[in-house]
Amino acid sequence: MIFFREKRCMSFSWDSQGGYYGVLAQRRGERVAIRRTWHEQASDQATISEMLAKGIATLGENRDIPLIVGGNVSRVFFHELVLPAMSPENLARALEFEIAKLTPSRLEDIHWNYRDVGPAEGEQRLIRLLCMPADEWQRWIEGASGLGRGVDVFMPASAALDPILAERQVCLSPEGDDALYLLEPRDGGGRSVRLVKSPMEVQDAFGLGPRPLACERLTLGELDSASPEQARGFAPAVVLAMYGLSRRFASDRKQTADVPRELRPRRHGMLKAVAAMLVLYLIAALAFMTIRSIHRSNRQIGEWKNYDRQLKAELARYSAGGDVDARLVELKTALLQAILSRKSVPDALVELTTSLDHRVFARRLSWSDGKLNVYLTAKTDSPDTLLALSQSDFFDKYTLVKRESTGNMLTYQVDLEQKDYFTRGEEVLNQQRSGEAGILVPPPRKIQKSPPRSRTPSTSFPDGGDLPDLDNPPRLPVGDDPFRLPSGGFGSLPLPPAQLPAEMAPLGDPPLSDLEKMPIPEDTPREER
Amino acid sequence: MASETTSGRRYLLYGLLIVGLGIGYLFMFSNMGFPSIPFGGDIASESSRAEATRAELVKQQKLYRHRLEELAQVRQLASFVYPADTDANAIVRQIEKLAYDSGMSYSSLRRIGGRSEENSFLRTEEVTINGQVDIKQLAIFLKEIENSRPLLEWSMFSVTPRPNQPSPNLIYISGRIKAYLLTDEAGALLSGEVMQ
Repeated sequence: MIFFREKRCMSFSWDSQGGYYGVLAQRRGERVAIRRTWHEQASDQATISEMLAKGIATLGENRDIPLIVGGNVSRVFFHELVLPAMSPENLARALEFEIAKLTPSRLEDIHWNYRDVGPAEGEQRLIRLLCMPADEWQRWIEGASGLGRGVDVFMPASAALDPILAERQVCLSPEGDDALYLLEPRDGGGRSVRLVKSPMEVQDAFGLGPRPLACERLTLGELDSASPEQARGFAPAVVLAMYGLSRRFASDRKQTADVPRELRPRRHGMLKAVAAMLVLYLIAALAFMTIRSIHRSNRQIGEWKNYDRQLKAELARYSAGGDVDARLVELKTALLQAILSRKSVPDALVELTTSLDHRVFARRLSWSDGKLNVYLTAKTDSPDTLLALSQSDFFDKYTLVKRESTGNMLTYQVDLEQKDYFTRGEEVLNQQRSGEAGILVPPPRKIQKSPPRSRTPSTSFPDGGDLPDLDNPPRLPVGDDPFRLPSGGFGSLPLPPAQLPAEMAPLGDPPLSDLEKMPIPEDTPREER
Repeated sequence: MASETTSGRRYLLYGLLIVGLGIGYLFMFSNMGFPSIPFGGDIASESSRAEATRAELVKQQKLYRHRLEELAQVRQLASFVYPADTDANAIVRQIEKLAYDSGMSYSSLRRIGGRSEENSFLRTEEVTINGQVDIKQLAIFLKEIENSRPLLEWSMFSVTPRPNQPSPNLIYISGRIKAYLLTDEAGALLSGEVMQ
């Protein structure tokens, strides 16, 4: 991670004479402190692996500390190139082309790597190409394979320069070499190589002079008291340690790490496991929340659908009747017609009795659906014997069929047609059909002798008005008025429960309560319920 | 060399792509189907549909109440006629009882003919009565017939005096009394069966 820097780093290098050097450095802010050092001269039989194992054991085994193996700097050749920015694949092809120009060896005999040092002129990049014999690289790999732990980077110290010690001359040649190669900063970036004859020729170069490891941001620790010759040997390892604690280390490692997979460190296993668990937990939590949200939404939709189904089932109950309303109206009309078109025999008899003079006797009477045929006998031939009868508005038709005289007795045969007593009732019925009024019921009839009336038959009330004349009501049967209804009409007529057949028992209230009891899905706003 | 890491990522990408395609294939060509992800609009749509149904139900319930009120009125009217399942003999017995209560004796009282349909909701039964009766008792009987519930009405009535009888109050009557009965259809309508 580019944002994180290691706090400790372990680095190793060796020279051509078999001297092995190792340092354990620690970062404190921007300073680097050398905590421990190790140096040992290898015997002829000692292998790189054995020596590195000793060094690691001396410096302190800790697999979480990055390990940089620098090897023998003198076996690595570097060459700097300024190339345009390009993808790693294209850069690799370009570098292979450059290698072929730089060395007569076959490409298979060379192990090469590079490091992007930084920006150069314009949009170009400064690339530091590193080449070494393939067998030497193989020795490094084999040496690291026996360590039993991973290696973060195989990198010669010359590759690690810049920005480490960017402004300083650096000499990484091991002690005892006749040729001391001084790596000098070049204008525009990069390094040029200059050969110096004596370590004291350049006093202030890193790796030369009386204090070869002196550096502004470096605390040497026990190396501070080392002799210049001893300190020079540590220079590559110190440079690598400084590089390992720098910001560039993490980013460069992605590009230049050509460590075989089996040698890569398995570090921070617990941390990685915890991080992986956290990621898995987050994914699982997100998935759970998403699924729960979907489930909740589906449940709400299901509840709404179920509620709708219940409502529709309830609705079906109300619409099951179909044309019930129309049939109820037909039934009501039929009942009213049957009741109100009734013609009363007692009423006709009362009308006859009250209309005729007391000297007139009925000999025979037949009544059929309101049509009367009456034989009347009177002792005297009074001219107004039948006058009242003929003028009665109770009868619609008056016909004197026969009149016979026998001695001092007169016999009349009269046909009468009883007026539909409830003609007005039918008018009211018509009004009710059109929804204009309820049933209006005439008051009880007072039995009295009818005064002389107009002969004009009427199908309406005597005054001809649309509404009943309560002062002069139509006549009703004698005695208790069977059709006497409260002023509210039939609708408010009290009905003894005993007369109500069982099948006509009240249906009860419509099942509104069912609707109110019906569960409404929770997210329905209260005011809408 | 340096391209090893890139290749590993590429293979990982290919692997994920293959796994994704496999999952898609499973969903597309199996019966599992793609999981339906509900959105807020779906819930709103379902709720508004249910609300519309509820509004329709409330409207129908109001109509139902009105229908019940109408039914109650018609039931009260129907109490003036005999129920659908009334036995014709019960009508004869009812008239017999009215005559008995009136103290009127008669020669015969019997049901005539069969049922006749007035319309699809009403039918009639007729009973004939004749005999020599006392005129006062006849008046009471006429009143009883007039006031009877359910309604009875005369369809034919004739009176012939009998001057040769020992009592001048004895007259001979002959008549037919009609009773209205509900039909089965009307009975079902009034029972509320068709409204359920």
